[in-house]
Amino acid sequence: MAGQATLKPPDANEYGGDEISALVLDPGYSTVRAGFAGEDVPKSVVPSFYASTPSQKHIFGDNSIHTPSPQISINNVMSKDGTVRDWDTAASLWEYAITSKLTSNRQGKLSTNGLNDAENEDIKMEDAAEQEKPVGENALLMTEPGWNAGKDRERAIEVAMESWGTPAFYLARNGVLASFSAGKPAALVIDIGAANISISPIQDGLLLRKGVVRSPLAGNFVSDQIRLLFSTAQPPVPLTPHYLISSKSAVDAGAQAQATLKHFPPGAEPHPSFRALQEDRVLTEFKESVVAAWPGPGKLSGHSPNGMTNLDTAKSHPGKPFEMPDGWNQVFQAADRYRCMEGMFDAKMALTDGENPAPSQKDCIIDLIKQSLNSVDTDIRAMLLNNMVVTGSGSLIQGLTSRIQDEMTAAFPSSKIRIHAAGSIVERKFGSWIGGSILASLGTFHQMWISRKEYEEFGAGIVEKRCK
Amino acid sequence: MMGSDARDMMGLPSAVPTPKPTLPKAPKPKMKGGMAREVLDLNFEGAPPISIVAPKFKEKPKIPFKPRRWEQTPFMNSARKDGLVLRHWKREGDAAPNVAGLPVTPADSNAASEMDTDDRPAANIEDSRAAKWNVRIDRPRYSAEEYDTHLKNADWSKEETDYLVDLAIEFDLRWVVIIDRYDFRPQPKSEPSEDAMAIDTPTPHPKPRTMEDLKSRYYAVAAKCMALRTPLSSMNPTEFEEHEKMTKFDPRKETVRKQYVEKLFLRTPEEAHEEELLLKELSRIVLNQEKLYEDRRALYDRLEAPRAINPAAAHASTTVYQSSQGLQQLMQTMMQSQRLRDAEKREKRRSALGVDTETANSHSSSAADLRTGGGGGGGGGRSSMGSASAGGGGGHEKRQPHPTPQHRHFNQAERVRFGISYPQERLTSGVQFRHERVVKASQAKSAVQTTRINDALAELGIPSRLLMPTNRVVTEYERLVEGVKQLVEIRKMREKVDGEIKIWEAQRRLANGDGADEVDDQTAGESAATNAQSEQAKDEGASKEAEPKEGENGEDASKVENKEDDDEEEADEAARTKAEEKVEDEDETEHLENSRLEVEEDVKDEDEDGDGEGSNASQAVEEEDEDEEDDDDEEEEGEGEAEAEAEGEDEEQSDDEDDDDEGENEDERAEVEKDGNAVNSSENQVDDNNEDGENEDPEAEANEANEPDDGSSTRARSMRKRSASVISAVSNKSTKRQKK
Repeated sequence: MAGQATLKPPDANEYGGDEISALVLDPGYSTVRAGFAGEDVPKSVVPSFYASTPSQKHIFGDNSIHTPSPQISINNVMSKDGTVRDWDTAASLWEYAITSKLTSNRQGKLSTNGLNDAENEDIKMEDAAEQEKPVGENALLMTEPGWNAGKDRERAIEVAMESWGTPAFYLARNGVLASFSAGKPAALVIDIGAANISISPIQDGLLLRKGVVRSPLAGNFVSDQIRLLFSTAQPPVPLTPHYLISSKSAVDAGAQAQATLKHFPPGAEPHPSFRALQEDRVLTEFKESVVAAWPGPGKLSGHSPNGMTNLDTAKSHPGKPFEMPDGWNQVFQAADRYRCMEGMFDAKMALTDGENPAPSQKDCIIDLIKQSLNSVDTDIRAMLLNNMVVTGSGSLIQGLTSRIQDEMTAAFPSSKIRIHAAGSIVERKFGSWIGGSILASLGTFHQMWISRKEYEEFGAGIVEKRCK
Repeated sequence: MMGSDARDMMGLPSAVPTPKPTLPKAPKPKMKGGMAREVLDLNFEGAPPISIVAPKFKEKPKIPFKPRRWEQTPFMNSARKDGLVLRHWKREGDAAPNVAGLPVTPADSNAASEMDTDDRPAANIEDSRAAKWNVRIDRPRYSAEEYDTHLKNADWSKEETDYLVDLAIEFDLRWVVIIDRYDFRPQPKSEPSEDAMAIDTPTPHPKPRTMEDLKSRYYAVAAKCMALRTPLSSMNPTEFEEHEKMTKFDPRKETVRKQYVEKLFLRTPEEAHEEELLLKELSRIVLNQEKLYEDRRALYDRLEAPRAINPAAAHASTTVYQSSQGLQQLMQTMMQSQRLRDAEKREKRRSALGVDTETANSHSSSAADLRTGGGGGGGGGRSSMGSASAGGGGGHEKRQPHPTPQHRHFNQAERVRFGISYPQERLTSGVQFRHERVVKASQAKSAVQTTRINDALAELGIPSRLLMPTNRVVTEYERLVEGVKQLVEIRKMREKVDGEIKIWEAQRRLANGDGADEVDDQTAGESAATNAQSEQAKDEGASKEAEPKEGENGEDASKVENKEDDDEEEADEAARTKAEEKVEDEDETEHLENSRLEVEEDVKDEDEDGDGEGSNASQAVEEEDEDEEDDDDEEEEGEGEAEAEAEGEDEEQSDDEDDDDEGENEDERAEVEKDGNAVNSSENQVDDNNEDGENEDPEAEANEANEPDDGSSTRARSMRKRSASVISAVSNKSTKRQKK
């Protein structure tokens, strides 16, 4: 077999793809992305939140978790640090993500599946169970964060192999995949997600583990900042989620909202976690439309060359109007718009209260990048700075990428800083999934899969050996 | 019938050609008012003619092949050991070229055959076309014995070495990744496991490794393994090169390089900018230097630098001569070659004459060492060398190891021959040309002087540009011109003094006679107090006042000398020259005072002359000046003009002195004397056409007027002191003269 190996690199026009209908599953704190490898967007995007009914039944999907059913409570399968918190629920959630839109629970032929057969019931049921495995025919590529613990990785392959019956499995780092989605085999990936910002240095498609750093100052942190902004504003900004509004009428800016609220009969209210999730949705909307990063130069707390503080300068920038679900609306001043974000760059500027202590400066983006660079080899630092990839939904905040570029140029004046941030929102949101899609459809990747046979032979530990 | 109806209804073309086109035809445009349609169209833009297209189905594409189905084809990848079968979509019948893939040969995939639970014949499964990219590097292999004999290292255990090699192969020598993943944990000795648990033996601490450590260890191991497999002698070039690269890896150098990279990384923009500027500057300098070298080389080529004979210098070519030292050496070499030839001749002559050849030998031996490759005196030089070695054995040994030129002394004839001089005074650097010396010599301080000197030289028949300015000729020329200058100077002095004397005499006369008031008004410029010529006087502003007086006094002065006219002109001239001198000296103090002082000084000089040695003592004047003045006096005397008798004594004396001075050169003296005459005659000329002198007047005055008043006050004070003493002396003198 070695006789066929060649040292000649592939031609530029030689198509390297060889699709085997593999599935790509990219779980995150906010959503789980699933789809077929070789496609450009995940077909199935399911929230990582799930609703628990009073009868301890878990229901998944957008419709379930946003419906104010009585006493419904919301939980997340992922923990705040980006790893899986509840494996059992996570497995069923992911299975839902795959089976709801991609594959289906295949039914065997009614005549042969034995379900209607009175005799040999047990054996036939086992066969049926075999056949019902959700991804029994597709190889599965799963992603994981760079700091995923060994037991979580083993658990992942166990779930895939045992309960989903996949013939081949691979566990890839989402940082690596994000750099692939940008077309780079080596990059410094800045992934700004919901729960975490992570910096992953990638060299030749391999994650440099010692360079992986992360901090919690990501999308949810910004949401908390907005909450604080609303509560400290004079007068406080009311935050009423959509599900509470039964009707509303238009009011002037800053005027009291005139909305009729829904009333739930006692005992039928959703759990407070439901309201929190719904509030977060409103805040996400606010983030998307109002929040922006201070465009520089310098930090928002700094001074401009003419001696004015940047906060004063920001006052002259245009504000943006925002209407709450209950009809309350206001033009939010530029200083406030910048202020919500500034904590990501400048810990001193973060809004704080008793529940939200001030973050430490070492968790801010630029400091994270510095830490990451300092822990990789000197020779590749300049290359990494020249190949920075910004990905993740959190990076979609207005002006964030250029702010990072500016701050990096100031922090590393002698190096060439080049940031690759995908232009389209979809590519930015699903960066690591797209990378997985690319990887899993490559012909050369076929030899990387962990086959069922290997799993059976070596056990779950093989994932440590193979997925490096 | 039915069929055609159905066809018609569906709008299909009938199988049989029928008059179908008539059916869907649009109704013909009706004739309006009996007009033809064409005519009607002229008035009304009628609707365009409708194209009648029979509606029909799109034709089926005619494809030249039969459509084939796509089907999910199972395939394997020979890069995998486990025979995983995956499926991809392939066209039915697209036979893969590598069907019956290699992995399922019974030799290497017993695992695959085990795995293939389905009854699909493994031999028919196609191999992935990406399998060919599966390239691994060769692992350095060593047995335990080989490790013990060749690869032992105090710093590295075998376990850690194994771990390192595994990791290096696993990551295909991507050292950045290897150091990132390197996490060797030495296992505690596992023999007595319970004991170990009990005693809690400390697990060996993992040594901190840098990437350089890993690289050097791996390269050492790999190179050794390579050499063990293939002896160095039988390696092919690429293998040998690889081996060399691995053995030559220097971790320290690499560490230093990393430090530099780090520094470069941490540069501030200012530093980066500065570095850029410096690099630009450097490239500019390098460029210019090349040009400079080229120019210099061209220059030396033109100078026809002789080839150095010693091999050390031979390859250096012209670069040897690019320093001033080199140039000196070059000159010496050239001189030596000349000397060599010279010495040969002399030696021949001497041997012919039977003179002692010892000195010649010493010369020729040193010359022979430095003989250039010119080849001119080559043959003769060898013979002289032979004699030299015969003459002195001691010098022979010295000479061989040190072929560098030695300083030698030239005798008088040689100095003349080569134009060598040993000047005592400090020389200015650079080249000096003799014609410059000639020109410089004939330049006096003032233009009048210069013209006078040139006139004198012209009269002597000496061209201003010497025909053959040899050293000797130029020296003589300089002496001659120096003499002329002195004469001219002295004459000028004398004229001035005479003028002063006359003033004083006139003053005295006035004081004695009519009134002193006019005299008081007078200044130095009015040396021509007795002058009756109005045209001269009007040039001098101050002299205007004196003018009427002069007219009166002209007759009063009974003792006016015959040569009064001449004198006054000369005095004028002298005053002007003095002014010029002052301009040059920049010793001007206040105008009036200075003019007075001038007069006094001049008078003092005159006094010296008059009183001879007696007054010398009282005046701080250099002896040379006296001599000059004596000379002057002498010649003035010879000229036959009316002169104070008192100077007669000086004449003899100075004559004697002159004799002493110029004793060694009789001709010179004669020339100088001749010069003296010439100068006098030329002076006469100048006097005759005194317009020349007059013409220069305005310039001189202008200069004087422009002169700033910043002259040193100390100097003015000393001059005032001197003038006080001089005035008394002059008054004495004038009384003396008066008596005469």
